[in-house]
Amino acid sequence: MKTIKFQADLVSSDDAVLNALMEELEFRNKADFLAKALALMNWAVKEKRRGHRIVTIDEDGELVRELVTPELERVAPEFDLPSISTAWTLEEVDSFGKLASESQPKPTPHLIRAMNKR
Amino acid sequence: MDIHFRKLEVSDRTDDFDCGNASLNEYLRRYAAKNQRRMFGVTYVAVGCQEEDCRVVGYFTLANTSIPRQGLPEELLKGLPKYQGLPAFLLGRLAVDSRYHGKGIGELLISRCFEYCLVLSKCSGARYLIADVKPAAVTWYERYNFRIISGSQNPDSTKMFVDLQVVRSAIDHKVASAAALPH
Repeated sequence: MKTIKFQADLVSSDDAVLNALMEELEFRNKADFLAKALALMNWAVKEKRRGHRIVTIDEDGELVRELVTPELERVAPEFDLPSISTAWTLEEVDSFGKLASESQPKPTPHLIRAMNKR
Repeated sequence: MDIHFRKLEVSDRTDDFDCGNASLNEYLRRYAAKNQRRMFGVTYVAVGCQEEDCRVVGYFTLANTSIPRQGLPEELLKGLPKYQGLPAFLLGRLAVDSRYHGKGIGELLISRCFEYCLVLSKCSGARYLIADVKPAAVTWYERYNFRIISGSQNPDSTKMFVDLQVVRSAIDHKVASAAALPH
């Protein structure tokens, strides 16, 4: 099978996790690990596309944890955010309308940092 | 300490959560899970783990909402569907346990909230995130481009909003000048 070279920069903490996982799961090399990780992610994406939730269940069949990430939510066909009605005064509507009609403000330094902190 | 983000679960340890505000504590401890089950808001939590000891160190609650159409300027409504309200997201609550203040967890929470809104806006088309903010927290929200909506009749709460297009534009901006900012 034709193979493609793949190179990635990892922060040291992720590299430590990678090495620990490889040892625990007895992977011989990083390529095998990546192939399995890719298969797992591919499975997760397929399940979310079908509208399924990805959860862990304990030995009694109780739901322990649900996997929720922005990336996986992106492929979900729908989301279950409920709708809430909030009261608005006429002054608030007027104030919002004026602000929203103005030209877009530039993102603040805090917002920039927050959105690039991944 | 490792921080994980996910939806609130019934088994989450919330009994000793203390952000310094009684109503925000009470909401997480008593109502968040119940409201989530009844679909009156989804609560996302930041869980801090030290070895086997995991606890909720912060949370935010999201829902869909709408902004009344009547009274909005024509130029804002131009070309939009004639719904009774403009679809938006509602950030109902956001709080960080006092023991974890100053560690950037609030910023992690708001960035997660923004990410979810950006993802969800592709499904629902909502452009604005509205927040009902306690007076003491207004300045903190302003740091993240939230703007004050004046005209509230409730002295304990100020409506604020942020345009998700501004949030999106912040992605991939150069971060060098922002790195040293206080949380």
